[in-house]
Amino acid sequence: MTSQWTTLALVVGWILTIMLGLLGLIIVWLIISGRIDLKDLISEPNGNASLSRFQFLIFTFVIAMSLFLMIVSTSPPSFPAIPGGILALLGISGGSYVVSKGIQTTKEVGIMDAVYGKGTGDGRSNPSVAGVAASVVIPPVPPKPE
Amino acid sequence: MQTLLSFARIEVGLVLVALALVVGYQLLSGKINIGGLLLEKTGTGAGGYSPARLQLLLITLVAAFYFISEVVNSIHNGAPQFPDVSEKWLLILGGSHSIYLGGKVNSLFGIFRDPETTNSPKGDSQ
Repeated sequence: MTSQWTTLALVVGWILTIMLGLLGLIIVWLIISGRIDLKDLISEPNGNASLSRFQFLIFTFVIAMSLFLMIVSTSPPSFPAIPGGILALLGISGGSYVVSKGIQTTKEVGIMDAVYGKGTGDGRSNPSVAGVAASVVIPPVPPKPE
Repeated sequence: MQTLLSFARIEVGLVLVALALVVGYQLLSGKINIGGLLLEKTGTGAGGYSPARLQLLLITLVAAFYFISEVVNSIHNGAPQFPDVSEKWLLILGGSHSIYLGGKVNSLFGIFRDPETTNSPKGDSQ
């Protein structure tokens, strides 16, 4: 029974390894041949390159390479412990990205327009404010008796 | 089992290195757009070069090289592990990001900009 499970584990291991390897190589080949276009990999919607995205790209490769080197250099291969400092480092990077996007969206949408509705930004075009104003009926002032 | 492990090591290493080389080449050759990476983003579009962005880029690259060198050192010492990032590095990175975010707020909303010299539309400098 044990030898059967070992054989099964080996077969599944080989299938997964070959499948993942082929998938990785196909993706790399599609990038090289231009069928996967990475032109806007670190671009913002307006076409400018984003420093936050670039930073994420660098840290992704650094962490992936480090993880791979550490796993293959241990015998038997094992997943290393991740210290709190690394998480803090990635947290700073990710937090900065999120705050940066928040600032940019606030500018693009316009916080006053978001609160008061699109338009002048002074509340006059706010549908809810306009609705309240329309529902208040001010009676006409009767003319003074002469 | 040893054959499978060796094969998996070579394969994953190959794919990772190939991916890094392709992305690196496309970044350097301009196929991946890096236009405006160091330009200030103002309310009316891209402005001049931003020192805040430049310092963040440099600090990021230095931190990445420090990280990789620490990992390689630990492997050479026979105890492979992630480096324990010291408080000093966290403060440097946190400060660098704060400067970047402060610069971004200033360039977009024009808090410290002279209203007479700005060419943003009415309301942007407020």
